[in-house]
Amino acid sequence: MYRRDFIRLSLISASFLVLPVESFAKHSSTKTLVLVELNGGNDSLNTVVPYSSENYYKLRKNIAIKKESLTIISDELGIHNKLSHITKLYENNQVAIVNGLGYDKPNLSHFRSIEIVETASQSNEYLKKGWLSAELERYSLSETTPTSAMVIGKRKKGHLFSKEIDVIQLKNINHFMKKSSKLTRSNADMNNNTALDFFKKQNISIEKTNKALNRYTKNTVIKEKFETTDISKDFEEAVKIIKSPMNIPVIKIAHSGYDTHAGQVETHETLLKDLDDAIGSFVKELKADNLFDEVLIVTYSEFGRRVKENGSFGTDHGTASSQFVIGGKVKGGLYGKLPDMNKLIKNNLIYTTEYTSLYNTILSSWFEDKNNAYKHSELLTFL
Amino acid sequence: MKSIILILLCLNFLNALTLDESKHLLNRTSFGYTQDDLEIFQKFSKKEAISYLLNSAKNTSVLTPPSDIYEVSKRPTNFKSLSRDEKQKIRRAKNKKAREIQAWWYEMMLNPQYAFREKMVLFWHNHFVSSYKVVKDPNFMFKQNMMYREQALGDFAAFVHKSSKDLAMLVYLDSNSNKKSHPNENYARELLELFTLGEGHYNEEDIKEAARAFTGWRVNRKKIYFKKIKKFHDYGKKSFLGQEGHFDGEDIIDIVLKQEQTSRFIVSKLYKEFISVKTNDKLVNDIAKEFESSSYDITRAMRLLLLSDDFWNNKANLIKSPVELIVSLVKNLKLEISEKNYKFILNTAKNLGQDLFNPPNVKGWEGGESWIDSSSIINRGEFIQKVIRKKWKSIKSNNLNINNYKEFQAYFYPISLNTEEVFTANKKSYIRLLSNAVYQLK
Repeated sequence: MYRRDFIRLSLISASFLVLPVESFAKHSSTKTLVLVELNGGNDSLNTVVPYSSENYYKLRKNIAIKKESLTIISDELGIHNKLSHITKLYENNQVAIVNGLGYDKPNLSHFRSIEIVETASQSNEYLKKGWLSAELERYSLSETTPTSAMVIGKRKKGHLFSKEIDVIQLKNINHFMKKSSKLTRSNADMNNNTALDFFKKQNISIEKTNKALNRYTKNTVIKEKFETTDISKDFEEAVKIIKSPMNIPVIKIAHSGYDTHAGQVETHETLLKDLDDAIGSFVKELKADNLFDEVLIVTYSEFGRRVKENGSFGTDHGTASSQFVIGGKVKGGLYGKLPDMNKLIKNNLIYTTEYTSLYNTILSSWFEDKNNAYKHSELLTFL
Repeated sequence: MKSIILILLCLNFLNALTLDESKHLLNRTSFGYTQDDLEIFQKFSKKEAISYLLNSAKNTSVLTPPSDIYEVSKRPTNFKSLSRDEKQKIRRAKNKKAREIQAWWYEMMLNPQYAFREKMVLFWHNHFVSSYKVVKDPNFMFKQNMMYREQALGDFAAFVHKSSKDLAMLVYLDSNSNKKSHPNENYARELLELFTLGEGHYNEEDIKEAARAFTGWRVNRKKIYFKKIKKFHDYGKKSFLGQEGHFDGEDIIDIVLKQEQTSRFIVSKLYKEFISVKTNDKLVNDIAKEFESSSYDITRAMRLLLLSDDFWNNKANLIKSPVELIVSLVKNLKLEISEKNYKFILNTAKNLGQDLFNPPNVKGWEGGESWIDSSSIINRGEFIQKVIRKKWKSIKSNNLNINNYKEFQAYFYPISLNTEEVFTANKKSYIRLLSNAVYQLK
């Protein structure tokens, strides 16, 4: 039996007691993985910058980030100065930077590549289930876990899950509660009609989530002042849920706009600042409630961007990228391996670290499932 | 004499489609129905109804397409030297044209005269997939759509050949950059995996060799027609699916079309679209044989599928796609659509996950249960509510003549339920009853 199952059981038995809502206003002790999709393909070379590479400056005459405007973290790398909160967390050893993430035979289409990354498939293989599906299918649902995954924000759930998992999508908790309470439930009964049963299952999942949100998040007070950007709002909704007695094992958020083909420097700065502010407020709020140990933030992208800039002061679709893993339990530092900046294929990086390594690490060390589907990929040691 | 006619009429009456059968046939083939449609179809026998649909689809006329599609697609020769604003303006004009084509397509789906043909065009749009987001040329997408209309119920073999030379397809799957020195496998792979054989009926070597055969296939420089560029073509010997020769792309397609698997793959996909997600292998195989021996006559395959017991026994077990939900609601409520309404329809469909001309990837929309998640359920419900609220006046004056719950469900629901509900002919009742998930089934 999983350790988590004990916790769940105790929560279920607790809910049999008739307690006033206030007594739930403490957090549950379970963990949440927060996945942040940097949608469009983040230019990680201008995020975690290989400032010691001559080739980087040679191929990016107009858009390279100068060493002076970086926080140097190693002989090779510096962090973009718009990422001040993340840099501070890095200095506290609570950020792992995984370098060279990618997969074999990269596909440069947004749609296809995100599908490959999220399903952990081969480049020419179509899989129906996402890398998290096996883990989440195991969860038994309860009053405090009405759904095993939530997607917060405008972007759809993508390919991380499977149709067996009733993922709840919402932009705003209050809005969701308002709309879903108006939903008409079908009272129709048709024998062996899987389509109708599917609708009903979804409706029940919405109803249960609505109930849990009503019961558990209404009294959640957010102390931190979040910015008004979409990404900050999404993180604010996420923290409401994490602070509540609800236990949602996976929350996915997307930050869009990273497809910086033209005039990228300014656009990218704004994106990074918005992301950093959102994560900054999110982490502060968690720390104030001693919840930072129970949260793991992981960023990912469909691909990185080309090393060589294009003619419009931007970058085209690329291959490997660096990503952040942030959390109280994280052993900060550099993981994976920086791709050789002098060994490029068509001006693109050669990846060094499989996405499945990242997944194996999260599944083994965060979800404590050593026997996961990616167990043969290299285990990173950030947890 | 009179009595013979009477007997014949009676016999025909005995064979005539029931109300449930009429709704079923039209929901599956024609994006829903109006009361007039149901009246017409209840006079037909199954055979007559299917012949009627198949004949109607032979109609080659179309509604007047948006103007200047070709003009807006032309890229000015000095494009590179234009300012950012000017480039943006060009892009905006193209996107606007692409939306106009979408609206034009919806208009035909809404028209009972074209509905079944357009249903087939949509099926093929989701089979030989291309996307405007990648192709970025409204003219190419329009031409492709017109070609799919021409081929929708014709000869599938010719269809595969034509689609391989279709301008949007050449761009979408990178044939346009496939050359001897750097073969690009994109088209070859999808031809085998998604368009004809299906996974597991070829190997990676076959893809590589097929890709070589398609090298040099291009859109000409003025972007008007397909062209083979000799210097980019690999004339060498290829070995493909166990055969050897100096194959060109056409040869590859011919070899693929000789495989029995191709007809099975296509019929099975049609079965899933029109009958049930769970296929009946025996029936699929039987129809596939007929399909192949009729030299891939799509009309023949469709006739057999629609006549099959499976078709008539599988009522209300499929989920309406966003386009079907939207069009069927408009038809059922007999609503007139203004230009502004088309904007709303286009946005709704996109929001619900089916933006025409923009399938998510080369596999197209997955369909079925994938249409439904917590946010799309809420959004579908909101769409239905909004339409009823905003159009209540016309709904009322259209006089659907529905006076009680029994009549309501007999008209709107795909099959009759054994439930009792309160009904008054007001907004509230319509919203409540059309929000029932049953209405989203077909």
